[in-house]
Amino acid sequence: MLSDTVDLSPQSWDLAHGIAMTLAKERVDVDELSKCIAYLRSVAHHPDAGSRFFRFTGELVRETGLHRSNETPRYYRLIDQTCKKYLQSLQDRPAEMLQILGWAARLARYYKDGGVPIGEIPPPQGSQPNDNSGRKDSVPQGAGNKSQDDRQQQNHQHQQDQAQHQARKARFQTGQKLKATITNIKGNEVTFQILDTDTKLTQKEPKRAGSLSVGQEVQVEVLGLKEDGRIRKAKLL
Amino acid sequence: MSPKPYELIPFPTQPPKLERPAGHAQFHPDRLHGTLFLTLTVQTAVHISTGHLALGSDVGVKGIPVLKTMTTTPNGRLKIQGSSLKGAIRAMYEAITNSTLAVMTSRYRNRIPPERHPCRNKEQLCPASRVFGALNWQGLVEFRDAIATSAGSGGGSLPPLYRPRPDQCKAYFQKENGRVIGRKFYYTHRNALQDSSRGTPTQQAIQNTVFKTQIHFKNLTPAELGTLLTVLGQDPKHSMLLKVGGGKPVGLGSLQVTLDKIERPGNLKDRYSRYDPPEADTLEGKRLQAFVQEQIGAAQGYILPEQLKRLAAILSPTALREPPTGVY
Repeated sequence: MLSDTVDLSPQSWDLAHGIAMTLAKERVDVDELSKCIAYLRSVAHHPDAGSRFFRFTGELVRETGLHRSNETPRYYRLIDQTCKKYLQSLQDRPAEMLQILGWAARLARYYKDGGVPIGEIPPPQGSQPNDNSGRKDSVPQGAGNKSQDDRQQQNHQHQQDQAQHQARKARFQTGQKLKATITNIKGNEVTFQILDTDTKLTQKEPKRAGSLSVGQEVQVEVLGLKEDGRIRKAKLL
Repeated sequence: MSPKPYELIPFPTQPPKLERPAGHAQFHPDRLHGTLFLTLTVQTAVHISTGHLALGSDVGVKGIPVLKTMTTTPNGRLKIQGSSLKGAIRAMYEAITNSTLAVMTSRYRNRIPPERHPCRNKEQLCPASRVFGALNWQGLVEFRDAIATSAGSGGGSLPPLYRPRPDQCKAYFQKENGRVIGRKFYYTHRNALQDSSRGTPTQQAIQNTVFKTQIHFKNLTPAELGTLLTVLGQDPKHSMLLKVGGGKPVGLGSLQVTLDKIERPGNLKDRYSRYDPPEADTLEGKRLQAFVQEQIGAAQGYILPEQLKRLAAILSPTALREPPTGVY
């Protein structure tokens, strides 16, 4: 069993999205893809794991005994074609293939269940995950370039959002007194949002819950922190 | 249409006698504790699916490109999970004692006699639940995985089978009140049917594969141990095979059980008061035979004779049937 994990490069994310979009668009059963991923995981420690994986997906297309419905051969065919199209160049790096396929399966479910409109599918040409210089050259001209630019713009926006989100993650100290707004009251459980931060805290206030109302501004004192610096418990002043 | 490859063993007319179980807090001196050492010999190919697919070459099966696998040890020996064995053995134990069902589907809740619903109160358990466990109650027997004595496995094609369709088969229910008649057991067959053209390729433990396993038991009464030994086919008057895994309707899954020896702690006080445990008292050969006969004798009156007779006829190792070739 392979225990290596790898961080996905933006190019690998493109591959995962590409596989997911292709399969979601063709309404392929994601569970069938998961079976292939399970196989790759089981052989990932072998030196020829990549080529075994492609042999496996090929055999699934040919082995009629494993087809349960008229749709199954189509699923297997599309999985085989899509994986070969996007991952053939990575067949010497099974850990990376596993990460990409794992995310592809999750994203395929997301695209299917979320009803997200699928735009242009990322091309597999950018399948050199650590080769940033060569990647730009390999992107096709025209519409492909446009979608690439859009995606880069989206990535940039996402990074900015992340930075803002980090900035809003305040650091707290025990004994600190903070202003908060009550966002929800359920029975005797009261949810506070600390002002100017993303921090929400839900705790039981059996004596005070009845006299509080949603939207009310209150002051709380930090009584304890978690290991990651978030508030574990606060006292309503 | 071929005749049905199974039979229903009716529930006893009397409701089960519910009692408090022995518990695990202590080894009761008047009860039996120890380990059964078993050899399981495959009579007709066994396949217990893992749900995992692999290339035939990955699991050492030639001639089949891709197949459904069985569980194996890290060094590639086939394995029958203890849970699979326990399920098969418990079903037989339930059928020949006056017991409730172990589990049931809520869909058929109203059609199962109320006295056969699974035990919910751990202070009031039926005979099988006392030995094998129930909700909130760990049983008195523990099953080890059965490991093949040699490496290697075979391949076969499991014919396509329909799911059970009790709603479409009146034979499952009593005419008067529509309630379930009893427990279903598949016959033992002479050979396992394979369907190379349309079947599902599977990794199988082929005929004559030998597995070794152990069952640990504690706080059993002689009658309970006698019943367990009877289910394991150790009563010469009622020899039985186990049926486990997939493809039971088409002849797969028959196992012959041989009891090699029984280990019992010689002196319980010594066993738990010394750093080096004393050697266990091992029963083999004639001593083993005598002990087994004694326990089986103690189970008379505990086992339902009519139910035992019917179960032994279905699972007989000698009166083997041909598997149905067509739709049944």
